[in-house]
Amino acid sequence: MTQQSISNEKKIIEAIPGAFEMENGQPYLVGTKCAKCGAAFFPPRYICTYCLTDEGVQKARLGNTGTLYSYTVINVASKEFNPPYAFGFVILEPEKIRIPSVLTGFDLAQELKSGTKMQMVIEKLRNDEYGNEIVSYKFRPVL
Amino acid sequence: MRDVAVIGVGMTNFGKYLDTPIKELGRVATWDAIKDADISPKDIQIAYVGNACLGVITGQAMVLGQIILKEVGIRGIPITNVENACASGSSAFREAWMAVASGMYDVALAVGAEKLYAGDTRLSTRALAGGSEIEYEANLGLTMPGHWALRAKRFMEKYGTTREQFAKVSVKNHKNGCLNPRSQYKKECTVEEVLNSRMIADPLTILSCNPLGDGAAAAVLASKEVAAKYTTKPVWVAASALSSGSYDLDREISRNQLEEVAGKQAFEMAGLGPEDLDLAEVHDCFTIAEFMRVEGLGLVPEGEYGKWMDEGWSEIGGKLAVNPSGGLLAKGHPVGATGVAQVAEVVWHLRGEAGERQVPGAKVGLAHCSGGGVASDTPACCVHIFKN
Repeated sequence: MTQQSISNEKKIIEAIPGAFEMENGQPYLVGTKCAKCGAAFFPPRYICTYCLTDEGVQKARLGNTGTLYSYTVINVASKEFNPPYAFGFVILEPEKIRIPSVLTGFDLAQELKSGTKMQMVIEKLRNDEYGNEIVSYKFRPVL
Repeated sequence: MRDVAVIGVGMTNFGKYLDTPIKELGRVATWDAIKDADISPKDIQIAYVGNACLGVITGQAMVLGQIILKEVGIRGIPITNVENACASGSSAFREAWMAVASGMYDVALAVGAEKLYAGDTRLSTRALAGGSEIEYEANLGLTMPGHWALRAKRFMEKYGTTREQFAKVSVKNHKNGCLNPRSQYKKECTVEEVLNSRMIADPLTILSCNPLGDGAAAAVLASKEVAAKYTTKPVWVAASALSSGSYDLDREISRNQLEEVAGKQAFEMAGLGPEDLDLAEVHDCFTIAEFMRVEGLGLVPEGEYGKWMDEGWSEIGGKLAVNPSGGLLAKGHPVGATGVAQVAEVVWHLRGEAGERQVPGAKVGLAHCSGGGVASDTPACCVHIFKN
């Protein structure tokens, strides 16, 4: 190792800071819940957009499984991404809210049906311009 | 609220202008509109200038309107820069309309200008991703074509719409673009060509997506009394509506509720219905977008636009001409300019000046612009109805 590479030590950065937390090796999404109407929000909303109150709206651990709602394969992306990759909306269980996510763990040539059971995982999303590793939650089909 | 007329419109050809400064595009369109209105720049009392992407592409944010308008000798008056995703230009037009309708000003100017070509498609894509939440969806890798691909997949599943029916939107709009001298593309395409062109985000191929584009458009608005001094062919703003999304995390993404809201408000304000329209310029940023928007606005019953495409009912000369200009797909989509260019298109049709693409006897036209993707919803939808 040269001095250069040691001083340029790469960091691991969360794409959305605080989006998930780990317990016993399992990741969970972190959002908010409204005690009054039961609505869940991800990313967190600290004012319930249904009850229009901040009372009883608290940070909450959400689920890590869901079902596929719709997905596509993105072939042209912004500068920092490396297509092709699958991107979809997953309906999170048990909260029944839509989560946008890169989909992983399957061959892109394979067709996923909506309603497919999905499991959340934490993976590298991309590298930033300094070579740091950006990580995020993703969902993979439970096949 | 006072009656407001459009008394002059102008527009550059849409296209690729890598070496042309944006102030030149803006100047050409603005001067065209001023000449068309036969008014002096000193009689313009207030101006609104729409742009969406230049801040990211070249860093030119904040004062674009002042930079453009100094080129035509407009100075000293209030100038506001308007940014509202793809609805930036139509939102600028709406502000100008409000300024005159409210009685505060008698003559207002709306301009839209944009340069999306950057010599680097990925930089342009990055700028366009600003239409979604950068710290959320865009940061996870969701692009604007991605947003629409997700809606398209859902739409196909729900209504049984085929890829061929989506492709027919591109075929129709490219055909119309051939009749429009200001169109970026003047080349017809076939369903097979649309389906076999490069895949951007499944099911959207490159011919299912609007191209990058540069250009500008402008419109001069005046109160009824003032309009009478300048023109014998005023085109009246019968309605203006602007809505935003609901962002509910459980809503159905194959429908855009904000279009239902803005469409209903606009028709109510105009005292007209969809059956009164002769043409509609609808924000066809993607083939699926024309489907969701004509249905969302209530121009076509839910789930029936596929049949409309098969029957050719939205072609010029059909039941309702949709995007006779060529739309975003063929005429092009310099984002901030689009809303004002749509106004110009409707005005030309209502004056009978639309040349080969003229909708015969057009009396009522609608212009619709929606933009962005936030929390899997659309954040801005602007609808104007015009009559002569």
